[in-house]
Amino acid sequence: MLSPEHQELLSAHFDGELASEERARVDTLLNESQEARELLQEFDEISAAVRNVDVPALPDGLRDAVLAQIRPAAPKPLARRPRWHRWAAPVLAASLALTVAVFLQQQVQQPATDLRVADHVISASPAELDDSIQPGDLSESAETALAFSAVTESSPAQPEATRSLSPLETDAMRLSSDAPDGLSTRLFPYGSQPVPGETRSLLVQQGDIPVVVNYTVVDVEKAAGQMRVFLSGNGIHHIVTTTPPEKPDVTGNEIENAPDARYVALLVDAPQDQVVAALNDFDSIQEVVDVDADYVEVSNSFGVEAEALPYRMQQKWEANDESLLPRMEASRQRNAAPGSAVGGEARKQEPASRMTTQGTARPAAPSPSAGALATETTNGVVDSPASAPKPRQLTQTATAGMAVQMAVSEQEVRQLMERQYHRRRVAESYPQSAATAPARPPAPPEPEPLETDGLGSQQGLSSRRVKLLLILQDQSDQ
Amino acid sequence: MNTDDQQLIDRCRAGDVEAFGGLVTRYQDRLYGTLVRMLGSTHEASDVAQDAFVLAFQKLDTFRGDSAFYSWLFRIAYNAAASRRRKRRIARTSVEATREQTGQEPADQRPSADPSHALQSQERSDLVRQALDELADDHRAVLVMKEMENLRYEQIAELLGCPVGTVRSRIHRARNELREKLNRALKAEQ
Repeated sequence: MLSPEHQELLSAHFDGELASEERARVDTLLNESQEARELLQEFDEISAAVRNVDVPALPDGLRDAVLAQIRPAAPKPLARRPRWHRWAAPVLAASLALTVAVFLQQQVQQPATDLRVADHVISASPAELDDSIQPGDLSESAETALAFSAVTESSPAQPEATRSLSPLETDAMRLSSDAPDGLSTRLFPYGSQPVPGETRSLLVQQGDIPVVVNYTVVDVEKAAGQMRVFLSGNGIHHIVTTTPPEKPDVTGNEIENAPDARYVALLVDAPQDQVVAALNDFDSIQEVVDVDADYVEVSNSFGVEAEALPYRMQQKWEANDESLLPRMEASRQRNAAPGSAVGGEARKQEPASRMTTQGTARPAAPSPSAGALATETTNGVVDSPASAPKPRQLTQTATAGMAVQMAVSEQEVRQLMERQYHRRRVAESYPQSAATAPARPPAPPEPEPLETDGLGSQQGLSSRRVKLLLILQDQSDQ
Repeated sequence: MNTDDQQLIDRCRAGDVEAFGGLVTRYQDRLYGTLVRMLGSTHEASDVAQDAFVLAFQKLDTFRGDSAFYSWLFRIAYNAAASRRRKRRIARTSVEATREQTGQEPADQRPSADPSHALQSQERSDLVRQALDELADDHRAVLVMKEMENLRYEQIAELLGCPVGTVRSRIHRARNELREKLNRALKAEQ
């Protein structure tokens, strides 16, 4: 009986994949063993059988279907489309409010070769949602975002040079008739690594109207970290998910030299008003619109292989969560404490007005603070924070989702996770230093530490990840 | 790279969208055949093939010509297939069921003067296809890449993002499993 090792050697030998040393071993084996020779013969038969499997004829029309799809999109090889386009359409179809948080003016100095930057950052025009959508079809917020994104030809790369697309569409039309290809080439510098703070532009089409979308490259780690700290500080329950490493050829928006790019989404479990009010305090975000978390989950291809970073949050989402409200309350108290970076001075520097989800400028909303926030439960009842904690279950009606999407390298995700883990370790090892922190209430109980030695080796987390995602999928599928 | 391919690609880049049709015609059957074996569903294979061609066109400016166009296209198709798998677990429609639904006859009907031989061949093909479908996704994928596309272990490893040793091991297991399934099936028939 051939050993499994010998069988594997023979298999590799059959494929011509052996090194010379192994080849010599196999030659000896074949000389001495009839069974080995028979196995090799069987491999040959299996190979032929697989190749000769009958396959129904390819249905007619693939060529025509492909050409029909690429004809109207002919200029678009020069204008890469953000990945979130894939899930934006179903979001629109469901008449949900539109996306997206826009990070602007992240003043980060990093070398151009650093992969920890986001190219297709978080920002795009609703015009990209669907080329067939006309301005009149868009919701109020969408039109506002559209206006935010449109620029004139004379100022193609200036984020401030925005204007309303309508009724001044004639200029945009002129863009199309002049030299769209040349414009695309000029606006989108290929082959260069995006640098944080850099403004880039993307030429897209809304129907027949070309629209230039400006966005600012941000430092992913910083932006994601800021967002998470900020949400936590405001007692907003959230999870962060990342896609598996992206293969460079999957989409039309690969990041050059970053084949392990991942996409990160923050899923926020909170009423929309609370999220909007809180995010008005976040200087880097110009606009936020909600989407349902299940839509993010389903259409953003965060399938069963997606990974959640803050597993403790994830654990909370897995079942009826009796500790969520106390955690939120504790977080709010921390936030309200003097010296809190998020709730302290930063709060006082609110701008005069901010964009809301409805897209209208309004006075800055009151900051969420202890005692002022209410949490919507699954049945729509509004509980004051002071009320007794109630079991909370993730359901479609209770879930507001905010999608913030950015590309991030696997290395960066790993670093984030390890840092988080070490931070907890330090806190556990030096509880005294935590006790001396100014006016900071005890932290809520921490979950089991993560076994973080790299994303790829965290097999122990798989079942939890899958469980979370199944919950989300159940919501959408049923 | 194939000079004909390069000419078609150059024409596409120059704005001749129709030239891409030539590339589709040239490679659609090969790509579809591999995808059917890999995915076990003709519908899915057809969809993925279409997606892959469209993506390839959209990304044509990034194709540097370091490899053959088909190799590049296959990578796109594989990734598109993997992406679809991630999005949802599709209940696979068997090739057999598809044939019944569409009435399409197999394209690969090898000529034989003996009807009984043809029948035997068809039955054997069905057995192999069924056994192939029963393999784990990752095992079936590597085996099909090896057998249909003749990719090197290193290329498969790069595509899957796993070590070469893993590819070697998976291919071996896939072969063994396939061998056992076929042996069992043939014995049962006898």
